Amino acid sequence: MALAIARADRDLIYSRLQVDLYAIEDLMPSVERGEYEEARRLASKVADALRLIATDLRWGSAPGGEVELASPPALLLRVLARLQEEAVAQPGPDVGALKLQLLCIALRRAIEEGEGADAPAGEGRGWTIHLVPRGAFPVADEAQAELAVFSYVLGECPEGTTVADLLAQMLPEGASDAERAAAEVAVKRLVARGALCMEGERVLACEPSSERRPEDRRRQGGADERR
Amino acid sequence: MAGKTGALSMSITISAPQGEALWRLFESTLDPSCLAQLWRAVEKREFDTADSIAQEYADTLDFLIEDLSWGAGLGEDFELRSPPDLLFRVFTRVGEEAAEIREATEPEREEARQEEEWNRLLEEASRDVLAVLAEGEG
Repeated sequence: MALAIARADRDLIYSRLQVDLYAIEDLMPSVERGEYEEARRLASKVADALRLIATDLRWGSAPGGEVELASPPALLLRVLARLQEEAVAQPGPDVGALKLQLLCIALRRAIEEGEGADAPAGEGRGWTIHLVPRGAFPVADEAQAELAVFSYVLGECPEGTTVADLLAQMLPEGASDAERAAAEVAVKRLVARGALCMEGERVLACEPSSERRPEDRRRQGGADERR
Repeated sequence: MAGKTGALSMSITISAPQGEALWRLFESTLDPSCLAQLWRAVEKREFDTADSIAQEYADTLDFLIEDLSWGAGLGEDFELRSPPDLLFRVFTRVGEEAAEIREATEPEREEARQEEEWNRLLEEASRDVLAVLAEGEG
């Protein structure tokens, strides 16, 4: 049985792949400049996006429900790795990019571990993953710390948990002061970036209103709209 | 369309002129406007058409990556490296497209043949007349 994802997750991937398709605009100029490696990269990006949309994601918006990912694992892993890389490189506050990172990590893990055989990833928040290591909180890596907190808020903790409760639940038993401090900093950074919102003492995952739409990216890249 | 899968058990060589013809055919598909057709189908919610355009385009790009090397190695014979199922789809389409082009350009070729025949007749007539005149003067 193939892996399945929730409609909202499909929409997130689809919107990013739509942007990928516009890489075609840079292809011919690369060939003309003799930059064949770049041309190969761009062409693969477009070909993979086309195949994944045509095979699994389908075109445009569609009614709710799960979407099965029946494409070959090699294609899925290539696309997910690239989307994750692009999401990491996304500048500024972008909740959509954070969600995409988590989604890509979870799906890649599921595909690599063969969980897709009997564990659909789209059930509820099925793609939620445990980024908080069971032994320690990622003190040294700010980005990992942010992802760990964000994935926890998004997936595991009851909505509207206070920061104190969040830290108490999320951090491993016997967490050090350094781990607690790193987690607190991660929460503050996520709030500052607009990924988390505070309602008094309670912490919530913000809606991805800051997520850039494909149209915005095309304008940003100076590409013509050819639709 | 039926596909061929599995490893290619024989080598297939494309001659230099054939390679140039293939590059000539596929080079134009690198134009971004080619995807406009896809977006039009999506906007009209003709998703089967969109799927088929997408798969064809992806096949073309993969073939360009794997075998045509962006036209860089043209001028020499080369062996095809793409998987058989991809080659089957690509060359089925190439054959169909060539047949379509041949059919579409047949009136032009007929006109050119007719033009050639008229020229031949005009040259023949002028030669004959001039030859007779030359004889009369002699």
